[in-house]
Amino acid sequence: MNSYSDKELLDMFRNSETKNYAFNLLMRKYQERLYWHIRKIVISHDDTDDVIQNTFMKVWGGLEFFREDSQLFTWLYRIATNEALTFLKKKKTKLFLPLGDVEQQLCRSLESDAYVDGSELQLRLQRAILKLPEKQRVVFNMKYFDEMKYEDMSEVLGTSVGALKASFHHAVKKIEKYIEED
Amino acid sequence: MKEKDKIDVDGFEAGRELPFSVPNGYFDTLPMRVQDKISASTATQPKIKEVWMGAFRSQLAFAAGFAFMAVLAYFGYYLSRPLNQPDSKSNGTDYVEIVSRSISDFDDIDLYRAIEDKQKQDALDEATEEMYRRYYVRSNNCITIIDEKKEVQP
Repeated sequence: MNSYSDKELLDMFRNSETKNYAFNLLMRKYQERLYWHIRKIVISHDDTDDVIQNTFMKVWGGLEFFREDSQLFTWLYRIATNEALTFLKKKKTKLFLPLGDVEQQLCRSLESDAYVDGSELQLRLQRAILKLPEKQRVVFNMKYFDEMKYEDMSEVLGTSVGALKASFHHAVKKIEKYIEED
Repeated sequence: MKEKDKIDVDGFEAGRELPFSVPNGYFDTLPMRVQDKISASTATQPKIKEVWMGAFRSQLAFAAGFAFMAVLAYFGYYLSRPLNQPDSKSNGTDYVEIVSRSISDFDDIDLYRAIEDKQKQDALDEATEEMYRRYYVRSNNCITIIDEKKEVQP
């Protein structure tokens, strides 16, 4: 299943006869990475399920116009990140929540979601991460958990490598402080 | 990852594992659910050509409606214009035009009534004229009414 390269998948997608099959293969290749990336942002499994479906719908609509200037997975990450952040923004608007309340709601999801089952230390770390500003949280997650290169992160987030390094460094310091205070 | 980017808190070793899980078989069914969603949205979404045709058709209908209203307004104004209004095309009275515009307003009964009224008016005018004529004759000849009666009744 994973033997197809991105180039082959794109060529198959552009052929109307193999389009659906190629898209199915593409989803199977990237679904887990994208799921966990989104899950770290929106926390709840149900919300992640909605966001990943919307992400793939967007990918289906835009893949035909993907120009291969960037790598396919960074393009997918970019769409997933935008969808996840837009989802949180909509949630904020829908529930008339100030910024702090969104963080509290995500913390509540961390405690009440049926599909959260980690050690106390892992949950403490997640609670500390949730105190970061949204974009810094995304940077921290991509670097710390996914161990993504700064160059790839720069492509995904449209931010310079230097700014990303600084952002991650500050995020680590803040998290250390939050954990000590917790 | 460099040493300085690790979380450095005494006794804290959370590692890089996430405390999250997914329902059993979730990743096996996700692509199928997405494909179903795409098929449903493709089925309900009109094709681009149809959208353009639809938009063009509605604009065409609007233009036709507008043109019809404009023609109606023009003829409405043209037909309801008073007959004695000076015509910009000619200074003289165009009787043929007046008749052609007015003819539709008359039916036979209107015509008979008009002729009848005209006859009554003519008779009245004639009688009045005769009365005046006799009055002048009487005045000029100094004939009294009594005399006149005498004349009438020999």
